[in-house]
Amino acid sequence: MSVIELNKISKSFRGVRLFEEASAVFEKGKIHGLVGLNGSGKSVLFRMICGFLLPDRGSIEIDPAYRRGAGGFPDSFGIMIDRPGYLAGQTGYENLRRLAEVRGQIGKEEIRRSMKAVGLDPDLRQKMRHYSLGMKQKIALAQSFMEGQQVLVLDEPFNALDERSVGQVRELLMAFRTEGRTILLTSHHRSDIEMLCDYVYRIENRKLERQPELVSTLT
Amino acid sequence: MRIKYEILQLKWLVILAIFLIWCWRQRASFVYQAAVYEEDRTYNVWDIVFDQVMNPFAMLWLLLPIWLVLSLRTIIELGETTVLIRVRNDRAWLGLVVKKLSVPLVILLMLWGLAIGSTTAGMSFEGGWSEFTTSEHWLNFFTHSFAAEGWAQPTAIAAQFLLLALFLQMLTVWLATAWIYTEKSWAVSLLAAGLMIGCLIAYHKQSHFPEWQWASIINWMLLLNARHTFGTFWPAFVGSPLLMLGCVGLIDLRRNRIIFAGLFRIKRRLLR
Repeated sequence: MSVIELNKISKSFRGVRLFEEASAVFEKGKIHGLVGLNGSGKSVLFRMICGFLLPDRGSIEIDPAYRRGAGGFPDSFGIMIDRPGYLAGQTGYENLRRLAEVRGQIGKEEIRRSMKAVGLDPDLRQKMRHYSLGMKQKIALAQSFMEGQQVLVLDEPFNALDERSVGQVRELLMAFRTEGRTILLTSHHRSDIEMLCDYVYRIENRKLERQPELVSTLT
Repeated sequence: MRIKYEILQLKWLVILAIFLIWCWRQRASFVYQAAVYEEDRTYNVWDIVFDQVMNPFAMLWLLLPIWLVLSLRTIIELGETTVLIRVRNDRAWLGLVVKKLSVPLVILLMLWGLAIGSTTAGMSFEGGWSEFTTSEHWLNFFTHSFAAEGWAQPTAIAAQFLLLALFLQMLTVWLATAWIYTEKSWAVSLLAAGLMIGCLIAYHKQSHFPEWQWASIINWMLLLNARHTFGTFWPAFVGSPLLMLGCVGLIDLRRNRIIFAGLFRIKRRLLR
């Protein structure tokens, strides 16, 4: 059962043609890896999947269970695209609470649990302007799943993380897969893709090519 | 939580200080001018209040820039993919921006009211309009029409604050719509600067064409100017909501790709 289907999408972005009739199917409950060179369009593809950008041609179909009416952004999607912004004068917990207030679905406990899951102390009084790059990355990751989102779209989730945190996040993602959540992620690290992904798509010649064997794709 | 967090911001103290300085200077100016030009007629506390409440100079040089900066900051703060994915669509995001800014708007207008109120300290509030107001003179332009039409003072002040709130929220909606279309902070900042400059030019530069007087910015934010131009108070209250609805329509057009499909076709033809 597919959660996201890309049907012959074409997209030019800032004068560069990134996709030309590219198609792909992302199944439910699996981890899908997306690999490609820098500037090949991974982030743009993620933005199109979330409805922030529209393809020039073709269509992106999202399972109606994850939609909130036609034309809108998908529901129950947790995303981490590029580097999310935050309020530098607030703590990590306060930033997450601000985001949680948008939907008002979760309370203090869920936010604290999410922070602990990525190895952050929710009681830390340090403002985010003093956070390290890795800590900011963990906050970005925590917001993507804190409301129980069923589809996670994660652009380079392992960036800036130390070895221990990488292991922690890998375990977390595998646990999410066991729960039946769908994950789309990009990574430049071969080991992340090899260890986590059920399917891998490579962006090549403006198309999305599903790789039959993981190892051969990762050069 | 949001309200408590918003109230405890240091910026409000700075804004209140600016308001207090302006209001007391304006009060001194009014008392001086009334003494010079209206010797035989007495003014009361409402004349001092209305001289500040209905002052276009204060609206354009004090309230407008403060509001544009607040709006800009909120739009950029909420213009994050992490926020967008939590709302239903662009229109819902616009609603979120307006909702988030409603608390600062109320605080801003309350501080404005507080600063004006402070200039009446020690004076007693009379029930009626003064002899100064009920007679016609250029100094009481901001009160005479209300007195002539039998408005109660608190009603007139509430109506003016409501009109100002509508106007300011309309500017926010314009900026938010620009953000939805461009997704660029610099583009929205440029528009905010353009709106500020445009409003000032529209106020200070009188149109040479009488038929264009309706387009003057003051008609849409100052109750008495609206009445003066249109002959009634109502157009001012209808104008801003209509323009906001127009923005919602524009956002829907984007969502339905109507504009983008057209632009794409034009671009393809040009590239051929």
